[in-house]
Amino acid sequence: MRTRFFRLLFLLCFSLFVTGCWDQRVIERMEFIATAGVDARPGGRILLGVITPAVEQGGKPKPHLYLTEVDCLRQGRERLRLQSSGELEAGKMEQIFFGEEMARRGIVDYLDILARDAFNPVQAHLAVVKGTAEGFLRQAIRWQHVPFCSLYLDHLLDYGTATGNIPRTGITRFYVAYYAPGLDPIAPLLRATPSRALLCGTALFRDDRLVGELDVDATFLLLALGGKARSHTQTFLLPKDLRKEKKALAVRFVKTGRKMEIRLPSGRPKIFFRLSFTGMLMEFRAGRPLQPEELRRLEGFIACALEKEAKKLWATLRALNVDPLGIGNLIRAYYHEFWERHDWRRVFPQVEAEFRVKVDLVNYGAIR
Amino acid sequence: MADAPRHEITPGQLVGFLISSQLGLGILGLPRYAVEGLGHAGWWLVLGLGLVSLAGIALITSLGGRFRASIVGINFTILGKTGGFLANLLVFLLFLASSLTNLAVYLQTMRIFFFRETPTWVLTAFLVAPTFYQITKGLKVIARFDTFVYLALFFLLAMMATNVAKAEWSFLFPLTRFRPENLAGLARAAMGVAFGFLGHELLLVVYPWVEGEARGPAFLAGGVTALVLTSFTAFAVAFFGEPFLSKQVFPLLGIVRTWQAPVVDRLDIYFLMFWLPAMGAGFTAFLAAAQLIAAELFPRLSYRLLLLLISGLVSTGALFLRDFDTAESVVQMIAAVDFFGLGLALPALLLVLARLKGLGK
Repeated sequence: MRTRFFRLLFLLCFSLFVTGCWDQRVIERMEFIATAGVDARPGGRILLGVITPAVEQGGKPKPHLYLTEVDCLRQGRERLRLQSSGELEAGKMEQIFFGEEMARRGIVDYLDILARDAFNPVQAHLAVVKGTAEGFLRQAIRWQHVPFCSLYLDHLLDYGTATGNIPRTGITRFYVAYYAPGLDPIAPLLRATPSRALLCGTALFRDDRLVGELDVDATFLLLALGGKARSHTQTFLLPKDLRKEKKALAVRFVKTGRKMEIRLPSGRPKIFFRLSFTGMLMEFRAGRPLQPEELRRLEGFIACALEKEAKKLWATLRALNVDPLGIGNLIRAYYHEFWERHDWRRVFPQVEAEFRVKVDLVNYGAIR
Repeated sequence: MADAPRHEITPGQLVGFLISSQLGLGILGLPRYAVEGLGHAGWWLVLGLGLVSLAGIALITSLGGRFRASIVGINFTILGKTGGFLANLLVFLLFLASSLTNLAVYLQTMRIFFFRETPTWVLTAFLVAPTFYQITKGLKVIARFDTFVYLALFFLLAMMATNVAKAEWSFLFPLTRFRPENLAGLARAAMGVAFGFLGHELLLVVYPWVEGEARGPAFLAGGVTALVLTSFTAFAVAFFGEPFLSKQVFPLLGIVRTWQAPVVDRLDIYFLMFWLPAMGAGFTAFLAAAQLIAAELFPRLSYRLLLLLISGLVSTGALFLRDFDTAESVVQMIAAVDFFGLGLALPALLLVLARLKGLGK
């Protein structure tokens, strides 16, 4: 009985010490970074902006913006800590945005702290904003009709990914693509409006430098070519012979299939893409009930339009010499001798691709 | 040694004991070691050492079955009193060194991922305390705690399954294109991978405490470990790609950091909550083995006093391995000696001598 009493006493006393030791973090004394933005400044310096939620009792969190010009991100956080009411931590950061100029300069050096410090969330969204990150963050804190700008942006980026309008890029995925031979990173591209953010598509990187961009429809096609597309709604301008009152039709793609074959005829890679899209006709005015043969004609038209877009997209990738599809990685994997003998950066602009697109409109909604 | 606890364990508990002692800490840096040695095809090295580990299990179980005694008794029987004592002292020192390396890795994990500012001696005290308690209660209690590893394994498999879409399997190709820079590089990688499989040699000590058939369960544990470590290494290569994987200090924790779920967001905290006992189990197993050998070598000393001395020695030693690179080099060196020396060469040598001398059944 006495032994049990002392054991219990020991456990109670012991529990007093189990409080995180020297690493104790009291949430009430902390300020969490929800969104970060990085801009290029002259002389290799950067401007770091962070948004933290200022919570008032009973009210919704208000975004508070900090800005500082520094040489590296950690220095920036330490500078901002001199202004913050609590210990500024990035453990719950939802997004990090890079301004266009910063992204053109190269961003991988500035991601280092996020990957190296195990307390930082590497699954945070990484995106490029048109213009400057500072401008984006300044607009973001003024958005009145969203619950909290960082939360809204998180939902927007998640939703944009699910609808195939932008790619999903976290810090780890960016690093993987950056380091992998024969694969270039991509990131979502967006811009701020006075009332909301607007998804613009994809930022294309060569190594870690921004070199080009794609709109949302081209992004979906890029994802489809990479075998990663999910659902997406797209509008097509109708040719005159199919046009009635409306100039366009809208299709919701619900399933995308991709087959890719790499061949090396005469020592130069050629890629054969077979894409299949299953979709639903969402908006189209024929003026009369649609007949099956008309639907087939529409399918042919959409397939043709997508094929043209795919060719255009391929030409863009070749012109920019970026390989976000990882064709080089596949060459490295399956044609290793060719890979070892050639410099992929020199080869890729000459790689030709052939596309075959099949569209299957499985229904036309609740009316014919 | 009147205060010695009960050590008998069931064959089922042996499986949990061996798996947790091998997987708990060994898996943390394993994919990096493999890739550093052989490039993206490094998982072959893991598979290879898994098979070597199974060969070690075959040798140890043959030896144990022949004598039905621990390595201490076997050494005395085969090598005589002086030779046996010296061999046992060496075995004891190697197990002590292994527990030291396990504690050092455990400490490094804690310092990088959780407690940066807490002094090392405080962390050491907190990490050694539960191990000390378990060993005072005996192998049976340790083995009961080790069943926790199945929960940790479940979480590991769940993490791999839910992250499968993020993996780029072409990173594993060409399947048989190895990149050994030189033989020394390959040997260094093998040393690192050996740390992943470190643990099968614990059979040398626990074999006589298994109530019933130990051979089958030992092979089952070895097979499961080899399968998990090989598949995890392949998965890590597919997830990170070779260049980024070689930059990860502990690839397992690197993948865990990216694990997300709706509502709870970051799952790394939950994963580590289940993996920490598995990490502790690795250290506990080796310290327990060192303690069991010491208890057999010095039967007149108090069990708890011996444990106190050994724990103190290991804790003090771990305090000196503060620098990550030094700790890693020491860990790899000791792991290689333990894996190949204790787990393979020693039982093979003893088996040959036993046959030549016609000793044992």
